[in-house]
Amino acid sequence: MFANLNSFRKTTGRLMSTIISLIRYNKASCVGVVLILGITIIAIGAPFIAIEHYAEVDIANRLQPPSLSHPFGTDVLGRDVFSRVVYGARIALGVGLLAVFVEVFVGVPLGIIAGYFGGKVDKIISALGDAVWAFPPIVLALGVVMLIGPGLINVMVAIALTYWPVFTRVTRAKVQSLVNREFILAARAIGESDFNIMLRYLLPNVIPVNIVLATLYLPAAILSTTALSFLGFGAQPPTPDWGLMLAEGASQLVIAPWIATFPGIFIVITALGFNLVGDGLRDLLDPKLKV
Amino acid sequence: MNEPLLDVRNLRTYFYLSEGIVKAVDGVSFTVNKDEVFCLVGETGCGKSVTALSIMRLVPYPGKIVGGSILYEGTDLLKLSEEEMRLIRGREIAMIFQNPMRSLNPVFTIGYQVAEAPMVHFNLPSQDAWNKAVDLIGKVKIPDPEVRAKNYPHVLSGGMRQRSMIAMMISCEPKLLIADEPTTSVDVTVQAQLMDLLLDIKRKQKMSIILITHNFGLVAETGDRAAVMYSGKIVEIGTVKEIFKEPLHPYTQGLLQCLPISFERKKELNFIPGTLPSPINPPKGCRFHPRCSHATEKCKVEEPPLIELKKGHFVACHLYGG
Amino acid sequence: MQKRGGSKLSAMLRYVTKKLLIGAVIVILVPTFIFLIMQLVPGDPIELMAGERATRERIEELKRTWGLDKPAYIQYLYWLRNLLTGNMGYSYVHKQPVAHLIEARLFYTIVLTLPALLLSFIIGVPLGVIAALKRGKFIDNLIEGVVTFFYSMPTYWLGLMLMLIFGLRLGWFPISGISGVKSAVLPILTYALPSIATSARTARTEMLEVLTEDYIRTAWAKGLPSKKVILSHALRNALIPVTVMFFLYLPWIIGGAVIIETVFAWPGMGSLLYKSIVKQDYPVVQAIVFIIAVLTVLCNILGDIIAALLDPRIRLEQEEV
Repeated sequence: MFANLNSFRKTTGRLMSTIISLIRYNKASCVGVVLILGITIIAIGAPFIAIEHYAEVDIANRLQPPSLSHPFGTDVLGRDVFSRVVYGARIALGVGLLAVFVEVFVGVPLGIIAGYFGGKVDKIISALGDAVWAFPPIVLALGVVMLIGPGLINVMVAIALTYWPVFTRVTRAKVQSLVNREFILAARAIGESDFNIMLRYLLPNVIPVNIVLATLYLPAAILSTTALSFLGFGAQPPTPDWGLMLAEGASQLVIAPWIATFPGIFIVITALGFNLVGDGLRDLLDPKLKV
Repeated sequence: MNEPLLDVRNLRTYFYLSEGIVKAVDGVSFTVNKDEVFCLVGETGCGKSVTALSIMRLVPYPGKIVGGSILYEGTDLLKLSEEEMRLIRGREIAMIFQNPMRSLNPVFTIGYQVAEAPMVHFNLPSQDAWNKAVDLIGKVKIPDPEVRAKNYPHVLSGGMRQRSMIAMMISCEPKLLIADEPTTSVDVTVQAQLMDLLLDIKRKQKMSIILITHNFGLVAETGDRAAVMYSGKIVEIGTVKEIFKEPLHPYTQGLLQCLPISFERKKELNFIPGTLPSPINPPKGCRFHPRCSHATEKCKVEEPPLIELKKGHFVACHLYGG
Repeated sequence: MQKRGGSKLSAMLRYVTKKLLIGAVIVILVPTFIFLIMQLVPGDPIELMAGERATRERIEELKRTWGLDKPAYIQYLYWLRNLLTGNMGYSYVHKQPVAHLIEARLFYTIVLTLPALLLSFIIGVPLGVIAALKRGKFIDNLIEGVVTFFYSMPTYWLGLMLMLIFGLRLGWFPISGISGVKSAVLPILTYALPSIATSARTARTEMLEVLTEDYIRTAWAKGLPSKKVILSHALRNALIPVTVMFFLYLPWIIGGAVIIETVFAWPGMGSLLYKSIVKQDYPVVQAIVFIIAVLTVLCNILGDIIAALLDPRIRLEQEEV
């Protein structure tokens, strides 16, 4: 992927300087970075941070309010809510990142093709994207889940199929702005194939914008997948998915409100972190970006 | 004694960016007399547009006018309240901008936009203002003004849009019109027509024009007096005749030599070596010294003041004992 | 005085007609598409209905009753014909015409969504505009902060928290079901807050972009008073994309009803859709999805029309055609 050590250094260097600029000039993004780091550490270090395993049942101690031994209380099966929330970070981040990855993998190539070739191809791809995007995402995702069945991975696929058009649209716009520039015309003049042009000239130039977009749409992926889990179509028990925990907590809201409260707080923290950083990145790289 | 119409003294306008402070206009002084065409010349980025915006007090964020005074008919514009300044804009001092497509509001008709200023400044009822607008559109030589007034900006050609802008800005018969590169974005033939139009209006309305440009041809043809700017500072002021006949500042000399005048066939085009200085960290002393073939030790350390070498001919250069 | 140029009525009509025709075509394609999808869904509702110990004959009999013994394309034609006459099929679960079910619930969904939509525009847009005008100052940061906060929140959690605080702890409002006006407050609030946040965000972005445009500088240069520059020149331009986006995101907001109605046990179409999916009541699912699809198409067309009405650049493009 990196042609040589030099280009790797350059890319890392650019990444570091972008992060540093972000931190220096945008206070809100600072907070975002802290939040993201926090959640990432929690996710990676879950086995060490959690008090017990997330599926550890202890009926005798069920529905206990928060205490020293159970900072977030216990749920209806006596499981430690804190541990489940901690392990849930892994699921949230994992599923969210996977969903965004699929969206990028589907959306960006389509955007490059649409922007580069134009004409009928563009019309078809854009029409498809617009149609998918116009439809309410939850309903669409529910439809997909009806087809392929429930489950965490299936939900992730369903959400990815709902949100990919935004990547196509933005990439297409960027490609259209590049296609008439000299370096593309020059590439054609020396006989580069279309595929090569798209891969080696256009793709690298659309990466920055898509990084911003991915950061901005990761929260949406997490919110949507947890929503579907909340409805029962996503993660199945005993998976400590935050959305599922909220559903479990909803039925106990009167007697054990902590079950529903804490996972939700963490969803907000995670989404907020990425939104703040995403906004900051967008202001830094491409303030006119409209999503 | 002829009091100058506009007297800019030691104007300083800085931009506060996250990377540092850009001293876009750093101690600029010049005067503009009644009924004259005063040219502000220089390369892109030298601060001429910011100077113009400062006169109008329309410097955009994150810029601020930090010092100096701008005397218009004796009143310091920088000391006026926002409301008092508003009464001057469009009415006494007006400005036309470089890119007429983006400078016209796409959702209002041309007629409405031309009528707005008189409506606001003279309290004209809307029908009268409209008639006046149609009249003005005709004055700027747009054919079929009745019809055109109902058009939206995007259906007009570049030349017509610029004329509409002119109509808008002269509608209240200002005494001073600032024209920021008014012909840069139009064809050469239209350029000539626009300049003729401006000069015609100037004659009829006894208006002064500050013409901002990097085009020396325009300066030579239309200017009475001119000031050359470099990196936020004025390096030379004089009548256009004087400056062309006997440019004093090395930068001015360099600029004039760069003009590809094909009387004598030269092998190569002239250019001024080096590049424009960084606006955040300009060179110490005379800002031009890194590119100046006459630079001395003094030039690297001390900034030359603007002195009046001959009557009406100012220069800021140590060569002349500054 | 001609503030707006004359827009030929016929050109406008041509534009609208063209859009409506495209919409009609899509509206016909959509049920076809939905029907195909439904055919692919695994699971057999007949077997569900018949129960575990049903005999072959019972299953065949049920299939005949429900018209599911005919080949797929006949079912499709029946369905289309029925749709046109307003017959949306029969619910497997409720044993009633689907149309009845929807009729009963439509009102409740509208009661929830309409106020939320209105609030999102009436409160959200001005908030966003104010934030843009006071850019960088405290109030902008405050508005931005609150907006991003609500934007990062799952709606169902917001609903649960509101239930917890205002329903259970403070006892101000009932927390589920229908029982008079008070019971609608929490669901509407849950609906409205994120929508207000989204509107505010969009409005702020658009307003900021307009304020940096050259023509605003021209307006200042003419010496126009700030009220005129901001309200007349700036807002008029900023509202175009804001309004269009409002219509484009309407279907999304309606889609959110599924979750909120489920959380609050609100008897609207959203909770009906959810229950029907769970119980595999396909006729109902088909019908509701169809309604949502039609709504989506309508909203998009409306958005296009509004854009043409507000923006002379789009309008006049049609005239020349």
